[in-house]
Amino acid sequence: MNKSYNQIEDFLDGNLIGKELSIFISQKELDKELAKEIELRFEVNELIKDNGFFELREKLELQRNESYVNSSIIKFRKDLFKTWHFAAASFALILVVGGLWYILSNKPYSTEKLVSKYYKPAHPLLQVRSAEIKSDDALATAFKYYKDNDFNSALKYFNSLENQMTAKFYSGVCFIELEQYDDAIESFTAVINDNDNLFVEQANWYLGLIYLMDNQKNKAIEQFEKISKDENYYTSQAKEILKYLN
Amino acid sequence: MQEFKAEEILEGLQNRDTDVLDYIYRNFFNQIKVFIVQNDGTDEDAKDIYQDAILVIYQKTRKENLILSCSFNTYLYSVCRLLWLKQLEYRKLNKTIIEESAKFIELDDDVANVYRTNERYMLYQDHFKRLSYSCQKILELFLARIQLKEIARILRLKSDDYVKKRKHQCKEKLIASIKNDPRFKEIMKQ
Repeated sequence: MNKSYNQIEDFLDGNLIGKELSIFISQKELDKELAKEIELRFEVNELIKDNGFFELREKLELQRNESYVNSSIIKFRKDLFKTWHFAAASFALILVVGGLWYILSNKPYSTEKLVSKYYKPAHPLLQVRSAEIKSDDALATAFKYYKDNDFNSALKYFNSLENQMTAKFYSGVCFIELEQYDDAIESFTAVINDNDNLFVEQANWYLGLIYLMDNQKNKAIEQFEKISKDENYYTSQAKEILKYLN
Repeated sequence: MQEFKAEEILEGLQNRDTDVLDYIYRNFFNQIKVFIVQNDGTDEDAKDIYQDAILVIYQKTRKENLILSCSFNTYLYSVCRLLWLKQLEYRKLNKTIIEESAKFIELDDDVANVYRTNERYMLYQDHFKRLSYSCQKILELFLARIQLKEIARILRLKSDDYVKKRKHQCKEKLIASIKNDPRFKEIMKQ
């Protein structure tokens, strides 16, 4: 294959024109490897554009996991009634009822499970920009600590850039990791109120998860309902969580 | 429970409607499981095949005006049946007698083609999800034809040129990661 990947991407992005385009097309006809490479990159683009496929696959996975939980319960019930050892069954029943009572009266089990399923700390940004070089240095240092999971040190640097929404957002994630939920709520609220940055959707999402972590179920429901009405990456996940919470 | 007609199911699938997905699963999955388990498969195989079949039908509803000449149940069963026979062939478990658990129709090659495309999509998707958040965003925005200047503003990147450079880096990282996956060679052989 003679063509560089750059040229293939230019072709797919519609940036090749005139003579350059016709030469490229005739080479594509002759070069099977080139044609394959174009096909691969084209399909990858199609996949990225297709949010529906992503969403449906996630929903099917969720359905599969739910059915696993349900079938385990059914199987357990069948096994239970098969046995003649009624006393042992009664004892098991007491344990199950006791366990259920514990879960229903304390609730943290389901909340923790939800949080562990849906919470992931945000990836550190690889490239960040700001108006001042000095600020960039602080941000880069903050991300270095953040990547090393040293959230206390990262916070010192993020907090020194309090007007930057990138820093504000990541300070919120640091606060979650340090279980300082009130401070995390304050950071994410500032990001959401600014409403002119890349992190608004993520901040809304994390805010809902913090309420879950902090056992504020009503506020969590309110927050996920708000997200579920939007059209973004977190909409379907918010709807899933609401199914568990309601 | 709410009942759906075949056209409503197809429309619901196209919209990834959770009620429709639940309806399909509750009403039709069991029959598919019986078929697969009777024909050398396991419960897990049945779940895999069911998911694959739903994704195939979804893609078909999106790409063409799919009109069924049979009930949805029969169509779904027929797609699952075809995918399972392909799977048996792949596992070199050719059976001479197939135990049927429902009525089926013969399907054209297009179903198998859509399935192969979906297999590749799933591979690409797995690797896309492993990219950093910023890489995912930049590729999504770029392919949504958002202007470079706007992407730079949204992602707080320094210039249009820098957006282009990042897009290039992210795309190359994604392609390399896909090509390094052992499944890639396997899928490309088919």
